[in-house]
Amino acid sequence: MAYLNVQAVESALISLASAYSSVCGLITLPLQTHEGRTCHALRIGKKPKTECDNILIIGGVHAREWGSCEICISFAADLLEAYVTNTELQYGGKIFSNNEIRTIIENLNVIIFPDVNPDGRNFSQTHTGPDQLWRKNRNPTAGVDINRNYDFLWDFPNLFSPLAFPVVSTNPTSEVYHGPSPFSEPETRNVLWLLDEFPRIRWFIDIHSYSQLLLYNWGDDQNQSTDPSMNFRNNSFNSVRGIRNDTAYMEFISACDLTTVVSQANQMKNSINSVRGKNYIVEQSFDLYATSGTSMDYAYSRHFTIAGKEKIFAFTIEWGAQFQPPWVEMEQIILDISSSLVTFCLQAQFEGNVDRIIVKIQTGDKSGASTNGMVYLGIGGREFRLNKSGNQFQRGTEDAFTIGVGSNVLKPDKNGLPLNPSFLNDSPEIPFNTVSVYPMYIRFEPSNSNDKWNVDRVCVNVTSNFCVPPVGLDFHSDILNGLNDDNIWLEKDSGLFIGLRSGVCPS
Amino acid sequence: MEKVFKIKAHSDNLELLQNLVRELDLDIGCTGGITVEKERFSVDIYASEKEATILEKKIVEKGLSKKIILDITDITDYLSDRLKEVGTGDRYKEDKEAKVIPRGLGTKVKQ
Repeated sequence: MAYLNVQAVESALISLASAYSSVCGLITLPLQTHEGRTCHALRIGKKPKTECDNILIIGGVHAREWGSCEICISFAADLLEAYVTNTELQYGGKIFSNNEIRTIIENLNVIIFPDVNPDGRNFSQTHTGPDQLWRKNRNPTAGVDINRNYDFLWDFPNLFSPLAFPVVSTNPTSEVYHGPSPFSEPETRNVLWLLDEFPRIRWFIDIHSYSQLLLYNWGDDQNQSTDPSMNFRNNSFNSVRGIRNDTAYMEFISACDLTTVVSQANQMKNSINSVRGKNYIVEQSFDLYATSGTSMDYAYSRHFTIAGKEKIFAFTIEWGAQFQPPWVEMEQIILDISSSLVTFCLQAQFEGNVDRIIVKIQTGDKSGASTNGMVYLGIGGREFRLNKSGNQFQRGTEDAFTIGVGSNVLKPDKNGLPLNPSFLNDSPEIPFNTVSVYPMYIRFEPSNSNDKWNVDRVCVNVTSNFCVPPVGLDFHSDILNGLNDDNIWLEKDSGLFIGLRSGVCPS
Repeated sequence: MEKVFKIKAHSDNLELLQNLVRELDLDIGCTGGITVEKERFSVDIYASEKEATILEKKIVEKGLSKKIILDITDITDYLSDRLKEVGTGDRYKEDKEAKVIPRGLGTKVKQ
């Protein structure tokens, strides 16, 4: 394989839509580019777009950042093939179960627009010298930086402090020229069309290179979460916006939203690190440099400026260490970023907190097995004791323990989730997106040194309070498949833990 | 073919670097911005031969030769090699005989 030219990008989308027509559809963007090209996007997902949350991923905005299109195509092809063939998906050291892939396809719509700026890409890929590093679109009057052309503080000379240093320009010869007006370019308006056409887009990623960064809002000034009136819509701050390390102006983002975006970005970072150890940095976009008119800030700003619009959590990925790495390195970067995108989709789906954990344990019917002692579930960085009224863990029986909604465990105030208002609950929330991060396990604590417990099967189902109707993830042990001869003994002489991983529980 | 340079500009003075980038409208888009390490500021700049010459002259004219240090790398040949890695034709175009379905680079493992 090699870098895709612009024809191959579009053909790849058409081919994927045709080959996997039961789970995806081709979107033809309404506006042709200045050079007359028609762009396509892919919508992946079993549900209609209005019945679930949507994620929009765009690439190829800057012409010279070639690999972004390849990331999008490879990611789409991986999702579709893994789903249809019922396989796990592996990127280096990071493995996603088919169950996880299934939840993405069946609970979300993922819209992938790989090549927003095909004219620019074609120019970059067919010219030598400085033109190979062309960044903008191919507007014949003057090329425009698409990622400075959105309607977010676009008029930066009048909306930023004269002392600010935003990387954006009114000079048509500049690589960061913002264009004659907001949304002046067909490429920008195509992205706007997607945002309007898919009103349940709640997550957005714009893929760029380089610097190995994962960026979140805002790009115009440092964030603050204490003064909602200090915001980009407030004209009284127009002369002071964009200065680092001052208090005259800082952009407002609620503490909740900030927690959400930082958490989501950190999950992506961890996912990338799992592939081959690359250490991407999570930071606010402004920490890179001040900007105006970017896709990320526009996407997130819409719910403030346009009545009835969904809040869109928005991110920019800056992959790699150069615009056009050798293809052998680009292949590795594709694995890194694809892993982060799968993780992103998983976490987006499971926003919120854990509201119910159901643990089913089948005990082996083995001679010498006893049930004296205590059994714990490790999840989300802590433990719960699996203990309810009456007999439990008898030989050859199955017990079900519920923590959270419908709790049946003892002492749910401490040994539970903070859901039931009828009792004082001292137990903290477990953010759902930490469930896959911390190890999940069953631990046996023998009462006496001779206690031996035989386990035949374990299944854990975890649901989030964010999703309506609830969707959950299953966790189980690959070793325990329900057959009598693969049971595990837990005792002080042979080990006390059983590790669990994501995947559909064997019936 | 006109040459292309990647220039790493270093300075102990952030303002000097910022002013230079702004005055010459230097191309630093998506290159990581101005970074700081051990109180030394750096920025990646991409420039044509003509732009690189102007940059060097400007630094001399302003008497900043000792305050802004430029590490200049000619990346013309590097970029030419990358251009050779762009695919030709349309590898996924459907025709009557063959239908090539794109495959991702992730490993698909049967459970």
